[in-house]
Amino acid sequence: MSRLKIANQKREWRSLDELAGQPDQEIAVLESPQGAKEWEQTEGLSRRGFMGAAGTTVAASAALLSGCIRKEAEFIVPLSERPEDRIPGTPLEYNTVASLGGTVLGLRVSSMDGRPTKVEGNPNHPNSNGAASVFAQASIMGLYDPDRTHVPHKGAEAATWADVDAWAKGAISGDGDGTAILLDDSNSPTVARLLGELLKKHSRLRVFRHDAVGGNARAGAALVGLTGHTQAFSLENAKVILSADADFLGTDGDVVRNNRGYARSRAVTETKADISRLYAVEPGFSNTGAMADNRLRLRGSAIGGFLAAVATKVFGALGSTPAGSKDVMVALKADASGNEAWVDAVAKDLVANQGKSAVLVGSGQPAWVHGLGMLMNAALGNTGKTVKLVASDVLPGLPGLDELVAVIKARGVKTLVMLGGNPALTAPAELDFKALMGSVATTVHLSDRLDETSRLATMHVPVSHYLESWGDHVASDGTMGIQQPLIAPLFGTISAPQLLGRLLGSELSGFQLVQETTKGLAGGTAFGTAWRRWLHEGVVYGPAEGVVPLAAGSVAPVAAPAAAIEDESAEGEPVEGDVDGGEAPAEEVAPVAVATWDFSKLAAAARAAGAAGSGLEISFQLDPRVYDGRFANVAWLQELPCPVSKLSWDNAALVSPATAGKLSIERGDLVDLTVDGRTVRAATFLVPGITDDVVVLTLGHGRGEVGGRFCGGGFNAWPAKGASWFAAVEVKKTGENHKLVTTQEHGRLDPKLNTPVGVYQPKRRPMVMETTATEYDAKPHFARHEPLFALKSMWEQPNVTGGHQWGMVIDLNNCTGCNACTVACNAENNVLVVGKDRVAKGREMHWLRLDRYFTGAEDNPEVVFQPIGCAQCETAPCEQVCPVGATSHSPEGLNDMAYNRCIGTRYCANNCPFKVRRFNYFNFANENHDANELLRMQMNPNVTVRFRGVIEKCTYCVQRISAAKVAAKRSTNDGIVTDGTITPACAQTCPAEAITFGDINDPNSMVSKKKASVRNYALLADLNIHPRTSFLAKIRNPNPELA
Amino acid sequence: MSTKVYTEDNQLADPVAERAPLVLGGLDFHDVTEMVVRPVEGKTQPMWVLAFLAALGLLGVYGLSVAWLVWEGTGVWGLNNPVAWGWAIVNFVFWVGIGHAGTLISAILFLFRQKWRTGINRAAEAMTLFAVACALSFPTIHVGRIWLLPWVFPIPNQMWAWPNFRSPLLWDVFAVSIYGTVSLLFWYTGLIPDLGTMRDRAKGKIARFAYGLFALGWRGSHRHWVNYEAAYLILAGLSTPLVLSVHTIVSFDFATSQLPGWHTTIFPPYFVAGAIFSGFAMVLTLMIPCRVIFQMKELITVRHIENMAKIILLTGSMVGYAYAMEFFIAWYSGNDYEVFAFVNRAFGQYAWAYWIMISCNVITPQLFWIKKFRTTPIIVFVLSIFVNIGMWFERFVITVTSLAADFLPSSWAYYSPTIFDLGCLIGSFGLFFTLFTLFVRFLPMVAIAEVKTVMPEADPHWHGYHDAHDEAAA
Repeated sequence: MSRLKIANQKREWRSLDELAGQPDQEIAVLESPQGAKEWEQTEGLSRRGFMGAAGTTVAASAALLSGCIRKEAEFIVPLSERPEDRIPGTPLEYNTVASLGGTVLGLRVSSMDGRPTKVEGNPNHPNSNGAASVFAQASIMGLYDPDRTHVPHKGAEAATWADVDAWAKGAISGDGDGTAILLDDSNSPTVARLLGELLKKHSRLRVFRHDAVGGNARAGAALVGLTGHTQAFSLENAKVILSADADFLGTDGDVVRNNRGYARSRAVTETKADISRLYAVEPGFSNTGAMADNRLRLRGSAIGGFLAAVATKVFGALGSTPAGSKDVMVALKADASGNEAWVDAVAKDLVANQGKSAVLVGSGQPAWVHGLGMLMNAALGNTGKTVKLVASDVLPGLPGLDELVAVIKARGVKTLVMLGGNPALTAPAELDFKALMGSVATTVHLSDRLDETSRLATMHVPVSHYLESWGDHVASDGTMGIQQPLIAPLFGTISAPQLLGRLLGSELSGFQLVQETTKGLAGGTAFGTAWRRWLHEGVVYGPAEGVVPLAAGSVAPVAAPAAAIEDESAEGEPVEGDVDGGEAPAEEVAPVAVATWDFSKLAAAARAAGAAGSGLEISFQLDPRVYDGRFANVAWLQELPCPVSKLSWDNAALVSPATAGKLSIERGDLVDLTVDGRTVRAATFLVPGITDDVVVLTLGHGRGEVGGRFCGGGFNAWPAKGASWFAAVEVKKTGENHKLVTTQEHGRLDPKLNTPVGVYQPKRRPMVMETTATEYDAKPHFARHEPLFALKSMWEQPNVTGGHQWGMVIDLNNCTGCNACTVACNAENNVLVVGKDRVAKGREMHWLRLDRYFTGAEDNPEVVFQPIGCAQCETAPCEQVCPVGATSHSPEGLNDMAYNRCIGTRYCANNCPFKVRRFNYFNFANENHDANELLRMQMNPNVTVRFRGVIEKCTYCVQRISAAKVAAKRSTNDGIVTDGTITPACAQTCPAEAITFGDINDPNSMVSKKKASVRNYALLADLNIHPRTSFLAKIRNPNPELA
Repeated sequence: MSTKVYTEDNQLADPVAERAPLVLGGLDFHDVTEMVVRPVEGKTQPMWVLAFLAALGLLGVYGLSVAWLVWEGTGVWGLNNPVAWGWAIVNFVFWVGIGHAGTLISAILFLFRQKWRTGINRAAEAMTLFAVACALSFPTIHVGRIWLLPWVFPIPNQMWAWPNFRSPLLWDVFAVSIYGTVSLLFWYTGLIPDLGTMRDRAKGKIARFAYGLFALGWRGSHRHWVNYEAAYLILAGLSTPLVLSVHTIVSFDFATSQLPGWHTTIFPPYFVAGAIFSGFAMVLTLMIPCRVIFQMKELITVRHIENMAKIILLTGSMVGYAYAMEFFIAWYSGNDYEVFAFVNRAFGQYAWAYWIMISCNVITPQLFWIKKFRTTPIIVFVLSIFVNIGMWFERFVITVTSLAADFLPSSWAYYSPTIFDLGCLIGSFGLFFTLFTLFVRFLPMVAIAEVKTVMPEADPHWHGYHDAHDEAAA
């Protein structure tokens, strides 16, 4: 068996070498005198090689330095003494940061014998607070993406690194005239510093930024004179939240931070629900809309007018408009038509909660709406309370892609260097950027694959993943962190700072470049000490006036960058100190006085704003799975069901049933969507609650082979999208059909049946218990219903007490349906992907699924989410029926699966009332490994990879429980695991803190306390199954005035 | 010859005065033997070859389907996450049900002294065995890891890993295998005198050896007959409870689970009634053509057919009653999940299957109130096929509709079969008919010795003997 394994691994490495164009190692292997093939260290990929790179402790930074440099193939012998902290099979954890889908997250990554296997949030980083988003969880697969390029390319032809070096040497000559650099949405001080140095050398070099998603927000800040400022929300302080097309709980901006804040603003006591109120105004149906207490369906083009109407009311009620904003007031085109009650109610609520409210504007809204949102937050006194206004942009005020296009058209550009991004895909269609690229003599694109832009570029330079390169990022609240690699680049790729370094003719490594940037941040502390602490804790702590050393005047206007960083005591702390030190890593800057804002541009923009459209309108939105397309080749995400539509493997033109009726289209009909003469084809899918006369199409799908092997599904919306995220659209049926698959066909808890004797309409099933805040105050124990059909049990309740008794509580009041738990479970438990056809058959393997139910009116329903994994029933129906006893109960109350014993009768799956058991209908493990030969590196070695023909299901992450018990036995006398030590993957990543796990035998554990809550109820308690997972009922807080 | 007056359906005009003979056409003992052994001893008929090859072809379909299934995985079937049991289990229950008629005819009717059973019991029992073989094949191929199937048997092993005796699937293993074993023994015991006959008549060496081997030295001595009849009676007594227990236990697979629509106390009697219903239908489907093809109308008479039609009417009415009672209990229980499960069966996504089941199983048997229908073999044949179809759909409705929509609406899904599901269903018919065609070619399909016991000549005081005696005296 072990021989076989080694042979397999061997083959895998070899094929990679071949892919990488490395010389064949076969001869050397054959001639190896020891015959110890498995110890041979091939380029960058040997297990031991990773250990050399990543197994080294941070304290030994010198070792890190050398460890990251790829070594020559050589033979090494097993260690004669095991170094401390290096235990095979025991993961090491490192903190890093990454820029992932519009937000910077502090991450804590597990390294298993040198392979990064799992991403979690870094508790020290205020943007993640220990949680991670869907994108962060899935980003590990970006590292092991089989379609990454390994070598530079010139056109479609493979080139060598020597070609890149040769080009870089003379790329920018003289004053740099005719050379442009295009940045993406990242916010890296090192990149900024290096650009500054480049500008020092080449004064006429031009730098632009293409932020396809965040561009409107940047421009909005500029409109109110706050160029380079971002809003970082602290929604935990909010009582009233207004979302203007902002899916701040799903895809838009700092979702992890906002989920946490929002969830905390919803905390109820046992007797009173004094919670925040969320108003969502949106064209589609997002997670935020699903969580909203009051949700208004409004087309994208009408949202600006709506917000203007609210603003007018608010400013009217406040009695004074912010100084200098009078022009804005005059210019605003308030349009409350049909929604007067809404405008009145929202404005009243906002005014009543000054300093405790927040207005969030979605990426898809034009700049002036963002500006207006910032103005409203300032006028309502929210700044410094619910909103931090931080000058976080390290390169503020960079001209955008439109200006680059203008320059190319006007004067021509000879050399265009694109550091990341994918402008050929994401550029607004009007700019016709693809065609313009052809007019530039040299276009160099740094990206991880031969994507849309790289295929058009004259040279493609493969970029390193964030887990294999050094970097740094400043978050929206100004927190800076060092991006620390966990593994040497798998394919010898380089990072953006490294490419800039080469352009500067520098020989420094990525590590040295980043260190150079942060040299000035240590303040009085010795740099080495400070640096180790930054890496260890994942956040840069520096002097209050910490300024990223960017040469003044080098790049357009450079404002004071990255926020203030807390002064750190001169004493260097020992690196191995307590990680959860609990100190605030970054301090916000003083609120910018509204009086100093410049409103002239906002007034002009508001004046120029168009009126709300009528007729059919398309709304482009970020995709909750692939964002703008950058995560499109992650199979986990492709298979992940959309939060509300539950579509898997495809996106679709989402319409409300009413709109579909009007257009006489049905599910799966392929339609041609024409926007300004640009046509894209998409299949339609009906989702109740989408605004009527609106077609919602998410971006980033349908990239085909260009994106990678998993990108074939769905429809590419980018070619139709102009600068505006909404536009009038013409819908034409093609008569063709496309199969759309969804993981949940039934969305009602009270399914209707038509019978000849009338409609059979059963009562709503007591699955998701919810009430309103007012009713909760009157009757807090509403969820404690008697079992509806209490069955008498013939048996005695099995004795599952004593020792540890594991249990879980899921707070439905917190869960926003963001899907992060599902992907975290995929990564932790080696849950496999089955593909679209199998999902269509209903064979998806997700151990943890998010059930979505529509409630209320059919045309404007509410949505509730319910995460369902194995409930670990004490009297588990599955255990009784297995003929071979492959599933049985552990003394700690876990419903265990012995995969080896399972013969696959599937009786347990039938008898499971939650239907959480998953069957390996085919050899999914082999299929997955065949589809992605790098997948093995991600697999968690502590979890069995299941074979064909066996049942699998959620285990409460039993591997983590066992590890904690082993640790407790070694370190404590009684061997008792303290509460909070064990966190299953789902609970750990949940940004909304909805999942609590622990020992229900310990009355003081968090889970016991939550189970004692009046809101606690067991799902399907009628069946006498005594599930260990219980739920806390959901409380909505709708405005009675809008009832 | 007798001068009694018979109606055309072999009933006496006055049933009180005298019992009608069970063998018609004035056959004597020798004629019966000749009639029964004709298909075995005669030349191979082209029709038989065709039928055998067709059955073999279907068996080949089964083989290929199963081979692909084992090679690729259970996913070649149409199963999905909520519906983890599909056609394989439907077919299993269907075949087990069919396997009820033979032993019922042989054992229960034997104990009840229903002498008409002798005309059909051999073939019906053979059918039972073949149906049980088909049935057993399904749970075998149904598991995800077929190579580990021995783990369901309590085989002592070094790991002390025992099967889970709480699982109804394990009860199934015992119930069906015991039933199959006892049925085989019972059938074989009944065959022994006839095997002796075949051996004695055999002309070829191989045939003589083979029949002789299995005849176990049968000489028809008095002692043999005493032992034989005692053994037969004991086996009949053993088989009788098994007839009732097998389908009861099969129904436990469903009834002891907690799915709405499965978790029903009516299942055991309802399943047994359904099994007898479907079993008799299958006997009729087979015997009506056989009596024509093999010219045994005198042994398998219209009276046999009518009797079986009456049993179908009885059990069909019981099944119909059970259908109604399920609905009533679901409503009466006040359990919304149950009510939904049944309303959903009748009017939900599988309503089409439900109404096929109702039409075939409830309406069809009621036609047998009409005597004309009971006594017209072609009508009985057609209706019996409807019953077979209906009973297959009953198992489909039970298995699939409850799984497809249970407690949490989020997991509901629609199940549809694949070509491999179909291959396994028609392939199992191939297995069944292959065995059955071999049976009619190589074994006497009517119990020769037993039929003779119900002929008037078996009575030492038969008036025919007296007539001859009188003639001789005169």
